Amino acid sequence: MKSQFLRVLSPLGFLCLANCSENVATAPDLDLIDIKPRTIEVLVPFEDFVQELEIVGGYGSPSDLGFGVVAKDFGGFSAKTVLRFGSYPESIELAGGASGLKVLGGRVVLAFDSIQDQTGEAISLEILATQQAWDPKTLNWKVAVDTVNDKTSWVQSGAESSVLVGSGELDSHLVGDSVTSFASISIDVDSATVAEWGGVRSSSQGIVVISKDSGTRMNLWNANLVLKAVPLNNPDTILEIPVPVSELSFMVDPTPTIPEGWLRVGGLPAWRSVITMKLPERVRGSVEICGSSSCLFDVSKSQLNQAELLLTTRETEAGFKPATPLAIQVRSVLSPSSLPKSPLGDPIGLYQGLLIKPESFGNSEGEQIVFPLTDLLGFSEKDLSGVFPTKTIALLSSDEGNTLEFASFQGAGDPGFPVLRLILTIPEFRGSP
Amino acid sequence: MRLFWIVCILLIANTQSSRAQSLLGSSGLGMKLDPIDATQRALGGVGLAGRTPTILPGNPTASLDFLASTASVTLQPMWGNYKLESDEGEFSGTRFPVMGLAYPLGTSGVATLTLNSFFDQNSSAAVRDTLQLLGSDIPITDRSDLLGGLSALQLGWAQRLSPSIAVGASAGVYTGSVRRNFSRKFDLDSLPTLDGIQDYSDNRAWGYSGPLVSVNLSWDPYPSLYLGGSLQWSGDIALSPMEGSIGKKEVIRLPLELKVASNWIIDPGLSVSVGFASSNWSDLGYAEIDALAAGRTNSYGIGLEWEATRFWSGILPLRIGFRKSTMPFQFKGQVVRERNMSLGFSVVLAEALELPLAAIDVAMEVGKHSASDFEENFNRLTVTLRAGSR
Repeated sequence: MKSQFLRVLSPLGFLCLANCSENVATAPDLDLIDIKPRTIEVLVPFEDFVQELEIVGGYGSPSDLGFGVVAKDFGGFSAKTVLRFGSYPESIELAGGASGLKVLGGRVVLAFDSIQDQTGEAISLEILATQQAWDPKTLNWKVAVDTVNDKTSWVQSGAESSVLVGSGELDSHLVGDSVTSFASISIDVDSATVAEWGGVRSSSQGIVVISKDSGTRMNLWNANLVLKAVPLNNPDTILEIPVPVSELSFMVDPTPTIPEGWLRVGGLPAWRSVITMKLPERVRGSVEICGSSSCLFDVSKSQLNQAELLLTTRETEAGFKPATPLAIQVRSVLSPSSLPKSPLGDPIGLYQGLLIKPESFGNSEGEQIVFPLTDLLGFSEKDLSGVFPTKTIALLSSDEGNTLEFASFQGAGDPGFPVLRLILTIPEFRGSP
Repeated sequence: MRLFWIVCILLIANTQSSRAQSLLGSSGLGMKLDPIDATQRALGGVGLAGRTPTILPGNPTASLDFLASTASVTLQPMWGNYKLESDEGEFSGTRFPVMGLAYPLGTSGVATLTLNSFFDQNSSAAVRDTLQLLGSDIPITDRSDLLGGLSALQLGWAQRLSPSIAVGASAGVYTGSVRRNFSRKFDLDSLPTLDGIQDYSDNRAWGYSGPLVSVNLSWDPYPSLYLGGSLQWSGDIALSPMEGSIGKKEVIRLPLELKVASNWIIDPGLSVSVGFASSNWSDLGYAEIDALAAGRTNSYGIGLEWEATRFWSGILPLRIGFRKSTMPFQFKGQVVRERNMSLGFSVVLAEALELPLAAIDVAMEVGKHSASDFEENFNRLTVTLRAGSR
């Protein structure tokens, strides 16, 4: 009898313990939640969140780019590439062993890409020998050297005082009826000049590559001085020995100046737009949210679901318009007082930056670009003490130092002024569960 | 007795993972959990003792017949399903409605200590909606999880004034807490162009505290007739924000609760029990709760007990009952009614002088909660273990 009872009781005990794994009924489509926090979207205008906007330039040098730019009056933009070649080889390895060289002459071979030619005809190019010392890191259209102890302007702006060495017609990009963006040219250089370049090294040595035709622009991606030489132990043989570029830079006219009333990001030397901002203490809710009239919400009592900086693109100046998508990062400025040399934090949002199509800075200007800032501006009510901290961010090119092109955005006075878009959820305060 | 304590420890240890389950837990103070043991459940009782000595909160006269110090614990698995309009689902879980100790004081008095549940606020609800944000209709899911409840800890004393009349009184405190975790999730899977909207969450906790006092009376005008009654008064229950939760302290005034019951031996081995309880759940002093209160609620039940045979160490009573009651809080604006049928039995594991020293009581209820379009069918198993020291 007792064993029968235990047999009955055992399933009961099992049932009791099995039900300890609780299954709370959840009705997803029933309106069983009687608290209704309000989630609102707020657009905070420029003057309500920006404390200071500073456009800082001068990061890097055109010499960092690794290629040159040559242009003449391309929508008002001109550029010249300045370069010097490396040392000549003193000997060469031939089948019979090493042999000294006798340089007879040479030619400069220039390879271009991204050719933009508004005429559709051959482009006249010239190479000129520089006549004064120049520093690839600091030169620009007006200044040849700008180092700590030396600031020397070009005798004539744009190294106009340089002496013609050779010229040629760049037409290899014109293939039949089609036009490519790649081309190269070889320009002969007389033996005296070649010999001079191979002599004692000097900071004034170098060549300037210029375009003579208005409405042209191209990138000089490779240059070589091809020496014509004979080996001393085999004078019947003429050799061509390439000498690569040792230093290269370029200068542009007009030189971009600090933008007033709008934002610039990128270029070389690079520009950064630095924004010091603070969340507003209160935001205004719309009639739809508040009822019969608009109302003010205390931001510190809400929870931030999303914060985004909305910038509107504007057309970038000719010569600096992006031809390929431009990636822009947002980073925290860790020591704003140390600007422009402040260290920066990790990218906020996408690590590789936000990719913006080039048309947005040309014909399709006025496009709204959204930079996520939630990670930067997120706050906890407990940590706030009712006052939002000031944050400083820098917008910079993800490819800073590697592109001449820059992005432009409308500023405070423009119709597409910067806006901070917030999504906030305001809790419903109740005294009971 | 040692086995009893081991079982109790195991059961209490399981309490942490055991939560109640009904959708009714989302309304007002939650789902009322009557502190009733298995014998009362089986008889459709309201919580006043019948013939079987037991430990009931607010009713120490029910423990007068214990010959020795006795401990009891009641556990209550419940499972079922709900249907509301086109929605339906299942639930399950286990509660511990009553735990108690009784200590006889001579042959005519007893002291009791009870811990009982009162309201269960375990619930989980989710609502899907859309919000017009960023120029799109963004699907959201709001989820609210409530975890906690209101309990009472009471110390009681009962004294037999004469062989047929006994009085009792209890005093204690309401205790417990409830935590509400609310979250709003933005479902952006269908909107890949939008990204980075962080979920909203709001976690708050409240604690309960307040006094309660009850008196009760049992009278056997005839050897075959038992009459009992009790009156429970609750002081203001303070609802205080806890753990840094924002808000001010609120006060809830629970109603006076009246219970009367009777047991009549209609034939040797056969008795009938009836019970009635009433309280007025209105004007509770807090508008948010008042808005959900159901007003006057009554419970009544009837049951039969048949001492069928002897089994193990004592009589094996078989019980059948019916109970109907109204829940204190509305659900979606409708008054909720509960009705259930019950079956049960007790097995005496040890007895002395024809009175049980250790027993297990079992009740099985099949019932329904209903309120307009809402219907919840449930099965509720109640098991009470009680054991006394020799």
